[in-house]
Amino acid sequence: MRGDAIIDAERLTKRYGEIVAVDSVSFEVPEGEIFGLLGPNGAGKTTTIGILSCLVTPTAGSARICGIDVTKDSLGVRSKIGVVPQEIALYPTLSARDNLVFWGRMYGVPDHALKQRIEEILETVELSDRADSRIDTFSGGMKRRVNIAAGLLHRPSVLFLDEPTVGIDPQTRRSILELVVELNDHGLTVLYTTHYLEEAEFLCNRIGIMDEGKMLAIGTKEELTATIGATGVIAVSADGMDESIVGWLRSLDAVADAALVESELTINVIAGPNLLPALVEKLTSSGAAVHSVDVTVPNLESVFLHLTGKSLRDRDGSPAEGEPVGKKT
Amino acid sequence: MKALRIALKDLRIRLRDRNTLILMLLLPVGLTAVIGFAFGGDAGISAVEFLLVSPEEDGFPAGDFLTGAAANFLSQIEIFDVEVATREEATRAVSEGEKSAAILVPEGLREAILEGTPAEVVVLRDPASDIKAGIVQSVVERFVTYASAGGIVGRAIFETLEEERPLTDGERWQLTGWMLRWMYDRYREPAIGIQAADTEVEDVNVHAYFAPSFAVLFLLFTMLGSAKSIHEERESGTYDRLMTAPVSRATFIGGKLTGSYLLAAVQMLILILLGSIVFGIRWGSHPGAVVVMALVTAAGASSLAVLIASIARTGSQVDNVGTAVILVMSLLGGSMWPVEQAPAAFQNIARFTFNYWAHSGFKKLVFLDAGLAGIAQEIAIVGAMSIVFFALSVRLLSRR
Amino acid sequence: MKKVLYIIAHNLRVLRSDRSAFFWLLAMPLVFTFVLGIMIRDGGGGSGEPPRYALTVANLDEGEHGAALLEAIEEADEIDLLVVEGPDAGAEAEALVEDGDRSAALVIPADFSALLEAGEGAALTFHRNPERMNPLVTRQAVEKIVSRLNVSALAGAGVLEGYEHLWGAVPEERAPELTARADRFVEEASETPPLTVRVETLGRGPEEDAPAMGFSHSSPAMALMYVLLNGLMASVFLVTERRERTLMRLFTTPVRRSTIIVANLGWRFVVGMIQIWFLIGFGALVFRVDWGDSPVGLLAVTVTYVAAVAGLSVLIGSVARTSRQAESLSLVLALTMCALGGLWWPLEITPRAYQRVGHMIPTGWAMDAMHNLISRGYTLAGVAPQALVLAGFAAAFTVAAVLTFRHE
Repeated sequence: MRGDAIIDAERLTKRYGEIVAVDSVSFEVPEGEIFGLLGPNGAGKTTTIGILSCLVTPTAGSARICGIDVTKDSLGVRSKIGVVPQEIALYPTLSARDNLVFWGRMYGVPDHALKQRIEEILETVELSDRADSRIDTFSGGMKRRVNIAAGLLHRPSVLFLDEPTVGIDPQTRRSILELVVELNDHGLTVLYTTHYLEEAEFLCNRIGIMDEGKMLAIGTKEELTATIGATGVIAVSADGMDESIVGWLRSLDAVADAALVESELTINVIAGPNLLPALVEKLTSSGAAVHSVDVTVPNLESVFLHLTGKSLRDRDGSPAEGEPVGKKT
Repeated sequence: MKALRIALKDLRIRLRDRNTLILMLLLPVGLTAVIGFAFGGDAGISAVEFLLVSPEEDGFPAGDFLTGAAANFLSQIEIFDVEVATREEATRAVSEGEKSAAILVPEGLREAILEGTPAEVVVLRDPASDIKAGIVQSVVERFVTYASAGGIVGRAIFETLEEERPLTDGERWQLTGWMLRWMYDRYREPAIGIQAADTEVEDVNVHAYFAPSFAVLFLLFTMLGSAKSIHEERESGTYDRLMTAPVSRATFIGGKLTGSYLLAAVQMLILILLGSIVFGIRWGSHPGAVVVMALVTAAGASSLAVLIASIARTGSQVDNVGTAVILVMSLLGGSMWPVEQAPAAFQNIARFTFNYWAHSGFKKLVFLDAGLAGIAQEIAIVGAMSIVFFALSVRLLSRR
Repeated sequence: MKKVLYIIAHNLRVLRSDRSAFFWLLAMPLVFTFVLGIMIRDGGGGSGEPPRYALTVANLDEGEHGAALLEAIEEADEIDLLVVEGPDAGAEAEALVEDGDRSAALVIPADFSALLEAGEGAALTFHRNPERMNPLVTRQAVEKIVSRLNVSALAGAGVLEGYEHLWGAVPEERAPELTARADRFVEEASETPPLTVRVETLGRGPEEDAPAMGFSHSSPAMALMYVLLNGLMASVFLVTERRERTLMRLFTTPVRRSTIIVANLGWRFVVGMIQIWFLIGFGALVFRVDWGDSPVGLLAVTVTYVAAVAGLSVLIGSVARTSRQAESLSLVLALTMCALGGLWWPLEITPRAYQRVGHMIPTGWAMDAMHNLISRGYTLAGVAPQALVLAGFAAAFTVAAVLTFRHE
């Protein structure tokens, strides 16, 4: 696979003084894949994308996009990639079309092709009718779509999407995820960073889990969940729990991992349901007020818990309510 | 009480912002210092450098008392820095702007004065120098007027007496000797003298003139920034949040106005204090009147800024419209130069601006040592402006 | 390098989408040029209508000398006279000055004629408002009138005293005849004074029918000031581009860093050139400002000055962390440079040290170049030193801007 990988990162490292933002990260993304970088804020995802898009010079390691080294031929790399920043990096007082013309030119799209491409892309992001309105009159979702469109004009070999759904409403989130799927269906390779595990599960062919600058595991969702050796996940919502319960759980053979975040207790279980009675009794006797207990199959949350001993959910809050893609029960 | 809380919160936000402090204090003090630097010094103007060109090739003849007297007269003027040069040198130095002007003394200067034969003093001016070359020109004109007048007086005496009774050579010599002494005495004590009325204040202190101007100008800018927060609160959603709390709209407006006012008062008082400390400005002998004027000015500026904010629809409109209004008003109202030098029409327009009256009040305090009674007119007008601006903005804001 | 032009065109478009830009770049400088021009022209120093200075006169004297003086003042063109009468006229005139209604007042004392006739000196009292500059000029005008009267008095007295010196006491019946003759001589001789002053302004000098004296001062200064002010304020755009991440995004496209920097300098340069030549053109056509004989020299000066401003603008934009910081920094730098560079008042009147400071910054050199072009009629060679120094500033600012330029 090494030969035809679109992205090939080898032991990428970025230090800022004492801080190691990215620590020897390696991964490959073959053509046509949606590859997810999953991890909490500060895990090093954005720095990794920064190195791959030539914004950040790596302290060590190397990376190639379509076989071009990012440190040796940055212009060559940049013409192969489309980068969609987390922020709406557009000119608010210009129209959508003016913005796209500008970015198209910057990507070196020839003038004769540009007009046609813009029409096509506006069609794809369903904004043809608002093409000549100023960006600052757009809703958040429309801005996001133009933001993505601006990265597609030059038909990049790979699209970098950096947390494109942070802080937006469920409908917009759905439309963006659908857009990514559609683009991928047409053959576009996508590098997608997120800290929402539901998005990673829904979108990505393969997922790399990052934390504190390190790549902890890479694989399909199934491969990743298989590694934890757990057969089930118990999620308890209760008031009055403390860390002693986690200690107790970890001492049990039936428990692979356990983590407590505020009033949510997550347990990766090796031998499923027979833990429940003991757990409930322990909770009740310790004075906790149990609101709910869910038993599910392992997911990426369980993987993250397994790998880091932490929950992914504690950093930035969960996706908004009414989440359309998640499989949480 | 809640209004005061809002006001104090605004004050705290503003005073924490380094940029506000730059605009509030550093710029007005800095510009006043620069102006003081420009116009300071004892003479109020830097040395006027010019050249004196003799009609003789080898400079001024030592024995010629008239040209000597002329050079002496010129060198006695403190701000003058005279050097002697040849005509070629003078023409070059003046046309290249090295010296402001050159005076070409004519050959027949002595005869012109004593015998009335025509002669011409030429002043060469640097085209790019208006003020200094102008000073040299006017001094030469005055000298020539006096010298001519002296010559005329002398000849009048001679001619009249000659006509009365033909003079012998001895009488001529006698008369000439007497006349020179006499004229010297009489010229120093002309029949009609002009004496300046007693004014307790020394010459115009440049700092004292411009410090209040810039204080008012930048007070307006600070106030604009402060009034803009009405829109910022709306745009950032904190206004809506406040409205969900048990805070009435009137309380909100009251709080905003009070906050602006407090900031304005703080700025004005600090600038006045800095003026005393940094520039040694004496704000007159009525501290009470100074404080009242400062507080009234603060009221005027803050209510004017809030009025601009209440007319504007967005924060950036406040910036644009407000800055334009402030600049034009300061231009017309004399915050940028002495408006009394402007034509009458401009002076009449100036009377409609807030800056004019605020500045006028401070000038009276400093230069005329006016007390409260002396600046009653200014206090009344600025106060009335404040009330009108305030009423208008409350009306506009509460309609929103 | 097509992309440089694309980015420049793009930025002009962004600027155009801001409706207030037109106002700040073009309308505001014209308003200032206009008002300042009127002030300079009518406020003295120009060649328009001669300025008139307000003077209030209270004549407490009932004799002929007081009346003669008042008449002479009335005839003076430069004085805008107000006569107050009545027993309290003196106090009234003084009060008018103190209230700031009138700049200056002259009080002719009640014993004025009596003193003069007795051959004793008489003093007029001059009141001036200490907060104003004009009374100094007014006083000079009054002195001129008084000196004319003094000359007549002097000649009259001199004839009598000279007679006495030579031949003893003047017969009483001859005295009036002698003084009258001396007076007549003075009057005649004064009409064609032997010694005159001719003023020769070197260089091009002002044109014969220069109606725009005031504007020829305010136009160059205001053009330089607003190009500087607006130019430096444009540093905010760079901060905004960083904050909104469009600059970072630009760095992910196949565009060189150098292209991005050149374009950032370039569009500021283009806007500055449009602005300064608009103001020059407007000044020439509407205010009838004479910009000298050397369009090439003017071009060299404007190109280098605007380039220096553009470099400094990008530098500020690179150094500033927030747009408010960029704004404050630009405002402080622009205003200080205007004041120090002689854009607000001529450098010639400032102390040497001040003039040296003024020549450590671009504005001082640019103003010198303007004087050389407009007043001295220099051509390109004459303003080459200034243009070279300005180019040096442009280069230094640009290098500093390149070194500090960053996308985040």
